Amino acid sequence: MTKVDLSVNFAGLQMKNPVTTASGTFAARESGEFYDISRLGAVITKGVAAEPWQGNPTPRIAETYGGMLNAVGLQNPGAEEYIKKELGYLKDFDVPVIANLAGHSIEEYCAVTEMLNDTDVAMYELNISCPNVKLGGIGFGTDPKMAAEVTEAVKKVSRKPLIVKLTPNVTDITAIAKAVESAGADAVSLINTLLGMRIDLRSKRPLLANGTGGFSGPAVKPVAIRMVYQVRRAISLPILGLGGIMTGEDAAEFLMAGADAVAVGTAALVDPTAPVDVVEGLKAFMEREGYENIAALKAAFKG
Amino acid sequence: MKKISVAGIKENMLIAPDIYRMELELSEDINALPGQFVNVYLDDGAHLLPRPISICRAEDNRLTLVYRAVGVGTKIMAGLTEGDTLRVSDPLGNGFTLPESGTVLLVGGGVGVPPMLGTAIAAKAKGLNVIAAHGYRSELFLKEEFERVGQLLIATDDGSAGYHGTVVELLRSSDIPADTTVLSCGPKPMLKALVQYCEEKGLPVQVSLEERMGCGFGACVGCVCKLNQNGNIVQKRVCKDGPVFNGSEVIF
Ligand SMILES: Cc1cc2nc3c(=O)[nH]c(=O)nc-3n(C[C@H](O)[C@H](O)[C@H](O)COP(=O)(O)OP(=O)(O)OC[C@H]3O[C@@H](n4cnc5c(N)ncnc54)[C@H](O)[C@@H]3O)c2cc1C
Ligand SMILES: Cc1cc2nc3c(=O)[nH]c(=O)nc-3n(C[C@H](O)[C@H](O)[C@H](O)COP(=O)(O)O)c2cc1C
Ligand code: FES
Repeated sequence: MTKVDLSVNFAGLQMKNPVTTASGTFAARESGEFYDISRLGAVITKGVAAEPWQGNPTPRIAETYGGMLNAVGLQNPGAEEYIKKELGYLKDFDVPVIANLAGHSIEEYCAVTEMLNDTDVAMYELNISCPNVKLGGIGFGTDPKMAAEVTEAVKKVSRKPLIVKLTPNVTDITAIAKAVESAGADAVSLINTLLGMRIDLRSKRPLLANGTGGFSGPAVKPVAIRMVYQVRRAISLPILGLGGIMTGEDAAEFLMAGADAVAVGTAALVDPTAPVDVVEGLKAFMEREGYENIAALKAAFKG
Repeated sequence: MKKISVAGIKENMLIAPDIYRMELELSEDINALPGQFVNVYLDDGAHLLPRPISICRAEDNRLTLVYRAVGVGTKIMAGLTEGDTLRVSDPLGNGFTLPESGTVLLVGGGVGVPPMLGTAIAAKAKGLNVIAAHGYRSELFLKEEFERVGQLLIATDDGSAGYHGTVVELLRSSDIPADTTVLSCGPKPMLKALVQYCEEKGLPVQVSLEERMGCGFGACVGCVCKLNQNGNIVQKRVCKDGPVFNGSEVIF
């Protein structure tokens, strides 16, 4: 059996393994009731804005075949509360924290960035792609010029490496990836959720109070793999790959497609221990297949 | 650590039209508070989200769930038989807070009746006076089980048994002691009417709410409800901060 080294260096961040949590599907206390979060390469926390956001009315969740829709609408308690409660709790764990940032405007994105600059957060992930918030998100992530503008503005005030999270709801994701690369992003993550909708045939209304919502889970994996593959060929920044990862083999598929690290999202809602199970599954897969490290696994891809 | 366990099905019986009682056996003893629920996982690869089902009874390593087959998940559950297995979470949520003394009035509506049974048994064990008042569409279930614990009042929508009308109308025509704490689980219109009744009577009331869930353990903020706490409107997670809330704070 091959001895496996799972560690990676992701945009300067040393990680014991390439597995992290997808934003919005991890809460330190609650997820930590099911597994030791220090076993993960990093954790990405739920989207946080400078001020508290109420989010959308309920129902916010709907099931779909092999996945789910969510329209949480980025409900969050604001940066001050986040620093106290979430970061305060995460201090005691041996795991780097990546803060996912939300905003309705460039000013708001910069405000939350500045509020977190003096914390222990290792890295930022800029959510320019959440499809739920009518006022903002969607505009930035779907237009190369606006995506570059917000990246540049946040990069200017940020004292930490910056991942820019891309939305799949575009015609050509490589155009956005190139735009944020030239604007100074240190890495990209993809994919955020796909815009979806379901209708309740009994009430004849959308299942979600918001009408539409973000589609995630194993059903979206092929779309995510294709996009990681395309972006890998278009830019040279490190890529955090996510979208439908349920198992260690799924993670390996993302790494071969071009990702340098991965995140587990919906899987962790439907099975709370999924992130650590993916770490173990990836390790077992690499032992079985004879990959000594992540670089070797990535290099084996023939596509 | 909390966990998801594989439970063996000992019995899965139809006890009223579309209503099933499932007896599960786990490898370890269950420590449940009255009013808590478990997440049931279907594991068919397609229907991924957990189904939250209230704990009807938990004794040693035995867990009883009573559920209505309404949609794809509960119909899959209804098709399982003795010897099959099902993955279930540890007990989740906060549960009811029993008073130190006096009377508890347990008000259940439809599949809100099952969690009141474990609550009734816990209340009786604590030496409280137990009255149950249940509203059914038509056919009754868990009637004998409740009669063994305390007084049982029944209302049916169609008048086929007990009082013809809603359970809150039934309460209005009954004598409820002044030292009563009301604990309830059922459809929102029933809870809303009940809270109004309790406010008129000056009785404290706790209600168990339902909401669509993503995770069922507090991670996704999918399941919020709104409370009015001294004039401040706050959002709480039904799965983690609830499902039981102070009825007078709930914004229906
Ligand atoms: C805390 C709590 C305790 C519950 N206890 C019981 C119980 O003891 N007995 C019982 O019969 N039912 C109970 N329910 C309702 C039960 O969860 C739903 O009937 C069940 O999830 C329906 O699943 P389905 O796949 O059959 O329906 P579908 O409509 O196919 O389900 C689709 C999705 O919607 C969700 N959903 C549908 N109806 C509800 C609902 N009423 N509440 C929450 N989510 C829903 C499902 O979980 C699933 O994710 C409880 C709900 C909550 C929130
Ligand atoms: C309930 C829920 C909440 C989410 N919240 C956020 C968020 O706050 N910020 C963000 O960038 N992405 C958010 N996402 C998107 C996920 O991080 C991830 O990009 C997407 O779900 C695809 O991965 P998955 O299929 O593994 O879930 C959320 C997803 C879900 C299901
Ligand atoms: S269902 Fe995820 S927080 Fe309640």
